[in-house]
Amino acid sequence: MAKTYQYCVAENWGKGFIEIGESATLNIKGLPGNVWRVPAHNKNANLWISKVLGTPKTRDEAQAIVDSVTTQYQSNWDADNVQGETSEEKEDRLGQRPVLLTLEE
Amino acid sequence: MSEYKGIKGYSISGVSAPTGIGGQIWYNTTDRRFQFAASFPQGVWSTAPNLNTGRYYATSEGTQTDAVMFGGNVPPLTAAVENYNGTSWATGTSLPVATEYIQGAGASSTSAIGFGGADPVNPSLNTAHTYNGSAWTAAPTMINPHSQVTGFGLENSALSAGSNPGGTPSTGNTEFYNGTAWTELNPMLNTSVRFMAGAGVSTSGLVFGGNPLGPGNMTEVWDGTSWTSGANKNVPVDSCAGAGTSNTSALAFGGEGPSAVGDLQGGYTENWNGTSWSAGTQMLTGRSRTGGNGTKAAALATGGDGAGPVASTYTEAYNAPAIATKTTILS
Repeated sequence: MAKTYQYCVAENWGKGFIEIGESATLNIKGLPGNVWRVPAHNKNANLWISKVLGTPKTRDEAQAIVDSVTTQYQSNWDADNVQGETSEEKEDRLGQRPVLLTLEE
Repeated sequence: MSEYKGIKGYSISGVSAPTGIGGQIWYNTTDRRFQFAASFPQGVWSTAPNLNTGRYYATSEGTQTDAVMFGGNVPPLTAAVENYNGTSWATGTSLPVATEYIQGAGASSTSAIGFGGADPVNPSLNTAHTYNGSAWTAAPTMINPHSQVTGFGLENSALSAGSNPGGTPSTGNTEFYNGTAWTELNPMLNTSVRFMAGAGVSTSGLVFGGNPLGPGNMTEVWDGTSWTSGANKNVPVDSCAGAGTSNTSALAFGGEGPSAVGDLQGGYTENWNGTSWSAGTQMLTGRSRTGGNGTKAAALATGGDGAGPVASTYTEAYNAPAIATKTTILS
């Protein structure tokens, strides 16, 4: 099956990292662990990865990074408790417990 | 050589400057080239300069190119203030006290007000302070303490809605600041929603989303006197952010959706036209508890957190509709 997406790891430096035109045409999505999803087989997507000095990752490699970071977030969330705090108050303070994401091929 | 008029029946206008209207083609008599304006049907997010201090449960006020962000939780709670000039964030004068859940209103980095919130000691504050770009000045205290409220409007014409005064369940309390004193106005219809977002001015605004015991999708419209129910958001979100100038023009973005959607921080974006919400382009990095300011067509999403929570320095700018002029090589 042909790939729909490709992945890379890159540090978001802020302004200019993703320009309006790139956002409009490439459907870029940021994921935990500085993983970025862009279309596969797309010249402009490849140029964007080059621009941001992204390190290409296979879908499985990217999934492993996202899982590792999210699992750490889950552990941090589980361990972050305040005595006497209700579950609702904890979600007010921390948000819901992080969930694992499944990356698309 | 074929002529455009011969093929299409009408000619291409010759102009000396781009029209800026998406979909149009013209001959630029200055550059002597054919050009067209590419129009993206949806507004889009692009990355903007990162904050110096990542935090969530802060607030930001102003425009997309002239804004101030203050308070929040790193953790710990912070009094940090940053001024934005469209190019970079610079450290501003700190709040008098480290405060999270703080809300505010304002037109720019030199004209804003922050009110309510929680400090390390008090779960709900009634304090308010105005900011002129370099100093905070104590403003009259609010009638009730407010935390987890939403605010919108201007420095001297600000509205606070929602809240849980004193840490008790919410009451839908509405207070208006006219530059001199706070006045209690008609309460919201929903009396148990916290962590909403708001947009508009004190005579024409709205609040949306929030947490009525999980992510909410409610909308209430403010006409300067009272609240009425508006159409629900498409995606229920807790702790989203908002931007907009009136109760007919607003943008909702970010927030935390229900666990059923899978991607809790999906960066959900929706456009409000006064009647209904329509889905917009999702944020580049899904976050909740962000600050939000600007207009429906030019908004700024500041900080917040992704899953974790891990305080984010990311800032994103939203522009709609995005139009770019392209120069062809036809001539």
